[in-house]
Amino acid sequence: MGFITTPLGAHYFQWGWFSVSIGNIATISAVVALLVLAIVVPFPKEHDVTPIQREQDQA
Amino acid sequence: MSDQVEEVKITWTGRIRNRAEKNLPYDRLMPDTQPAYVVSWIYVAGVLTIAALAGIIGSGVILTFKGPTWWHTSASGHFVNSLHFWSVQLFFIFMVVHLWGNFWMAAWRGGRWKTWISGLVAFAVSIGAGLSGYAIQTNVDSQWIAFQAKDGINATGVGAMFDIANFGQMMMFHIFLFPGIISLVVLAHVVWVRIKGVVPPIDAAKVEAAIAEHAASTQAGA
Repeated sequence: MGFITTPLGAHYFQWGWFSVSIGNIATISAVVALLVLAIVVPFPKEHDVTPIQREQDQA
Repeated sequence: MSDQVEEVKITWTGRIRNRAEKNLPYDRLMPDTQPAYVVSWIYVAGVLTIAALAGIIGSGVILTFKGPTWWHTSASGHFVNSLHFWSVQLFFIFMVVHLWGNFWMAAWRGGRWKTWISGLVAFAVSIGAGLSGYAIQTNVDSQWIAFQAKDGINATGVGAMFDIANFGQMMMFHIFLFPGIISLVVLAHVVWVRIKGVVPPIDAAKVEAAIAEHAASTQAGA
């Protein structure tokens, strides 16, 4: 397991048969992070809402 | 409307209008409220993808008018070239977040399979658009990519129709065919979302029943 640099200067992470460029794994990580944030970060409440949401807020 | 007999049209324009009036009334085509469960960032990824697509097309139109010499040699050309490139990165990033979010909420439920399949087609065609874009940069990078990709494309059996080493074909695919297909598919995708409505979370019925029960018990207690 470790990092290698190709003759053209690209950086790769290698672990056995697994090999991924740092740029690609960084992009994939960013997408996963965005997905998690989109699910867990609350949406601002000041938008118009349906009666169901109003009842929920009043309850 | 229910007590009226629907007039049968004999023209295709009339039949389309009847169908549109039935399935897509104005309040559904341009809604100004959404159900409570739409209050989540995950529902924003789709519109961010469309915003990125607008950035791609807008910067692409400028690149089309100004040409390769401009985007390779001038500062403003580099800027618009980068705008085009980064719009594509954002387009794919948001599209993947949108895809994953909708996959995990099984967004094809409730007769929404056309929306799901059209999204799949948009994703597949976008990959072709991205690859053809890399092949028409008119630099050493594009030569390298085209000649690396041709063996893979040929191995799939579509090399006769998708000849990535053919610059003219890649140019026409990239600036006309693929953007046209993507725009039409995205339009259909959005229309189907409007017709069926945004997919509710898997447990929406349970949550809404619990809220209704709570509201009823609150009213009874008051």
